[in-house]
Amino acid sequence: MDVNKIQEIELIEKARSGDTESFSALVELHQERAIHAANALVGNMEDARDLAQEAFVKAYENLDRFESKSRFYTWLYRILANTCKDFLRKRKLRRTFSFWFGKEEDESLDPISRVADGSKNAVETLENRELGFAMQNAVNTLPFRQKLVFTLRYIEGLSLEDISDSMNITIGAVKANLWQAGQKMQNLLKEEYHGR
Amino acid sequence: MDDKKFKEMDQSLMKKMESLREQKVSEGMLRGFSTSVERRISMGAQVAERRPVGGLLWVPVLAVMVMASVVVLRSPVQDIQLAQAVAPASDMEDEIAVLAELGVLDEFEDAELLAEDGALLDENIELTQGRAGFSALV
Repeated sequence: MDVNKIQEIELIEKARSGDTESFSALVELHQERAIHAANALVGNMEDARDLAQEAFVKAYENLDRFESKSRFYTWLYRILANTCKDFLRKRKLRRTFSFWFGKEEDESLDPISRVADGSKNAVETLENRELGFAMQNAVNTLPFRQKLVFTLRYIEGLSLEDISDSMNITIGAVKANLWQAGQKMQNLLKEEYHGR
Repeated sequence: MDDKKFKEMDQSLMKKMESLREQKVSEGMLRGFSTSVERRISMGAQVAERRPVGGLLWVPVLAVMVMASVVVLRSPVQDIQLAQAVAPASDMEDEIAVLAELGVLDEFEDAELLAEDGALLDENIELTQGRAGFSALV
């Protein structure tokens, strides 16, 4: 067992007995990847931050259900995925209402605007932003399950085993979902670039 | 989908998505994140503590409502109304007529019954008169 996992188990045990500081330490260990993943799923950094916080609160409330067989972050991703799924469902409803009642949603916060934050120059920034847009648009067309598997693998860099653990599906099912998502993504990106 | 094709696609997408994967979340987004989570947890705990009080307020109200509905359902007034609904006087007359037609109840028996009823009525009158007389004496 690696040091991180031992440290994680200790923090979880302390948090279970009501030590909020230990839970805060757990939050700090995983906050960046939680926001990152939520952003990939909902496409908005502000919402992603809020949803990541909500997922941590749910994790704290259900800490007794966590089995230390798996890593904390795989369990957290599962909670986060459900939280994001609920959010997207509500947003879809809200957009339908907005459409019928003539109100427009605030789309000023673009999800890709931060893709090129680490770029060295303007050209690179523009290229990254363009690629990011194309990728994000393509990811957004996928059904939620494929989108989640794709995000966990290629945006979060999780192993197939971790994805299987997080989503509670077999590795074969993970591969099948990735294959379908990958095929769709490649076709969409081809259309995007050949269409220009 | 064979394993070789999957690996090729997997590696290719891993490479293409590298820029998105390595993108960092800005410091501003991370600042105060765990504090906000702590605050939300403590707020949730406060709500959970308050909830049973709100719940307890409803207990007597619901109990009274349940008891009231039981009393209404078991009320004897309703039983009497039901009994009246089952056997109204006109139905009784109809039934007697039907029985007479069938020969189950003939005129003679009917007259006997009426005589008995008359006697009973007379008795009642006498008793009433007796009581009246008694009360008059008192």
